[in-house]
Amino acid sequence: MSDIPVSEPAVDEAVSRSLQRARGVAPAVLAGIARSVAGDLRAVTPVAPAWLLAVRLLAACAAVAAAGAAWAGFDGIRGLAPAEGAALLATLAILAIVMARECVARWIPGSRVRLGSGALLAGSCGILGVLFALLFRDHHAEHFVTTGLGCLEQGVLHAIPAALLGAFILRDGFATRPATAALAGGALAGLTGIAFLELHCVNFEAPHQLIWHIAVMPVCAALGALIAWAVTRPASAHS
Amino acid sequence: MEQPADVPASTEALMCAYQSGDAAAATALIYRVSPSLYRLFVADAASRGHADDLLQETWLRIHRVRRSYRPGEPVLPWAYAIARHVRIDHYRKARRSTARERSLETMELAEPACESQGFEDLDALLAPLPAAQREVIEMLKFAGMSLEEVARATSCTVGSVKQKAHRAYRRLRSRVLELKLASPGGGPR
Repeated sequence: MSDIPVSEPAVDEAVSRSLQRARGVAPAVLAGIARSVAGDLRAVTPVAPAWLLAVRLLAACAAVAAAGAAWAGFDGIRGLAPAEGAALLATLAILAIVMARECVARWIPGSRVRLGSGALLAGSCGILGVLFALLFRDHHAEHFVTTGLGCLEQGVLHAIPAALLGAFILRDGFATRPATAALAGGALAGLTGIAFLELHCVNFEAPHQLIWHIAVMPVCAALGALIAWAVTRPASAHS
Repeated sequence: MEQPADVPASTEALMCAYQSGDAAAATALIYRVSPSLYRLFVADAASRGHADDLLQETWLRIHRVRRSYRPGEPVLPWAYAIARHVRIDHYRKARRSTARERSLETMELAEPACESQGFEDLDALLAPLPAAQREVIEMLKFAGMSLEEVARATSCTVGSVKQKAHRAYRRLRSRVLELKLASPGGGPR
């Protein structure tokens, strides 16, 4: 940068000189806006605090995963050693807390975002990948595709109620970037699907866990972003 | 609706009163926040010609989603995030309608949104910036927001905003130099 003989204040000066031509907003426009707002004014209750929304999201996701496993059986978690099971559940819980916070931040305009949606998704998949590689040492892969597709389907099916509950919890929010908000929401719903699979699935082969279980999260995130794109596109096209 | 007398309350307090249904606070808030929202629309050639409409649309949307403001949080990034959303919607609609008009070929193209209105200097200055960097510069320099506020308004991390601002400044410095060299009697100072 130092090879360019123009200082930062010179850039500021050029910008402010250009802006001096900007006319202000017309008083009639402001008066019109104030009139239309005052004409439809009633008290509203502000949206719940971010931490409370995140707790509600976590509770919903935990309930969906636990209900699914209660119906299908907790065979997966029972097949692990207690320390392995604890490590698995603790990691899933930590990831869920981080993702729930970030998801809420994307649904409330002007919130502080700590992680990009892509980084959140990639980081979560990476952490789960490392954990699964450490926990599951059986590197055989029998009926890799058929059993894998079954798990992927089960994971996505359990992500759907989690996503619907999440949408209900965040109904008072407003996503100013719908696709990234839905991507984060889809990733959290996908994590719920993974949690169900870890509680239920007894296939402890490393390739199965690493590919098919983890795939639930990016698939759900992509579906979420796609749905948001499809929903917001016609709305802006026809209005 | 008369312009409100100078209200000493903070923008956040006005917003909370607006949520409680206080019409005077709502009017005061509109008069306080609108000028900087308007600057944001005027700064960009693509939204300049429709700045009045976009401002009105932004307030309609703010009014509709005013529940989503949380007391205690800064108002400006919240309002900017909504204004930004309105502007993006406007880009999409403009792009679609232009594409439709082109495909029909029988209709004359509507007046392009990129009216210069005496902003040739600004447009020339910002021309080399990609949309994301341009947006960051508009918020930092035209609206006078902090890095943290820009990050909140654009749903990005502060690190990402810093990086975009840094890259934008690098391009702007080159651009200022180019423009100085190109102007009659101009040269690096």
